[in-house]
Amino acid sequence: MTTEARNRALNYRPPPFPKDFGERLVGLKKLSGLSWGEFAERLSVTQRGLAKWRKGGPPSGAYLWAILKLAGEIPGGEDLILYGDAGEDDNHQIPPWLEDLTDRLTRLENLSGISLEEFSRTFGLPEDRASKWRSGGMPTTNEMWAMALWASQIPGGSDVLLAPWFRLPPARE
Amino acid sequence: MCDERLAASSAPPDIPPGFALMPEDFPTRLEAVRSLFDLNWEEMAAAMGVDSRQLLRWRIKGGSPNGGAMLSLVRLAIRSPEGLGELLDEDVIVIFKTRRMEYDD
Repeated sequence: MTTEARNRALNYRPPPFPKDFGERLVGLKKLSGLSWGEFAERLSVTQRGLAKWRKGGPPSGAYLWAILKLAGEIPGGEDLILYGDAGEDDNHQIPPWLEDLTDRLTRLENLSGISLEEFSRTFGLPEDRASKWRSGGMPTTNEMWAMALWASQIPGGSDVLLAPWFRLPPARE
Repeated sequence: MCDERLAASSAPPDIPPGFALMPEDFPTRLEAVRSLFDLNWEEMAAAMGVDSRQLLRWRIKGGSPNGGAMLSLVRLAIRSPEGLGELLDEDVIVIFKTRRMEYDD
């Protein structure tokens, strides 16, 4: 358990502060059924402070704490604050089978002797992509496909990139 | 909906509008998250996307992270099912014990 949790954390790089935080807050207020006045009171924030957050200004750490505590009392509140309405924005939505992608890409570089930059050039991908993947950024679907093609041309490459993270149950007859 | 109960429930006592409190045991909570994932402090700083000196400051000197870093900490914590509880639950120490206030502006 610990090793698994450790790997999950080691491979994690947080996304920037969500641009739609103000909307998330509005959503939380709706979920709570409180008026804006009551909402502000619960958070001990001034109306001015609240207005600033609604426009996307990030609260301080202490206020974010207060917001999360309040969200924890409202069904669905924590999810809304952490994931947003669309359930995206974020690295934390990376599915488990992609969590160690950065590590796999590094191993693929070592195995092939080809850097991610060279790989990107060969496939006509933008220059800056390689450094994004290195720091934990996710590839697009097209890029992922290009990676799979690259790996397929390196002996042992597919195993490095695609070795199964889980095992399917045996097929039924 | 949930609302009157919510409005009446744990509104922090006697905190004037415009101030927020950090839990006094915040460093302990940081430590709890770190040990949950079996990370060293350097690794934890990387997983939070902050400088390790910053993390040291919050641990030792009692400074508090900005909103972005706090959110990152929570996002790290939720990578384990117990993480959010370790971070936010009020089971150990009464958290509104001392005043470390931050003006909201």
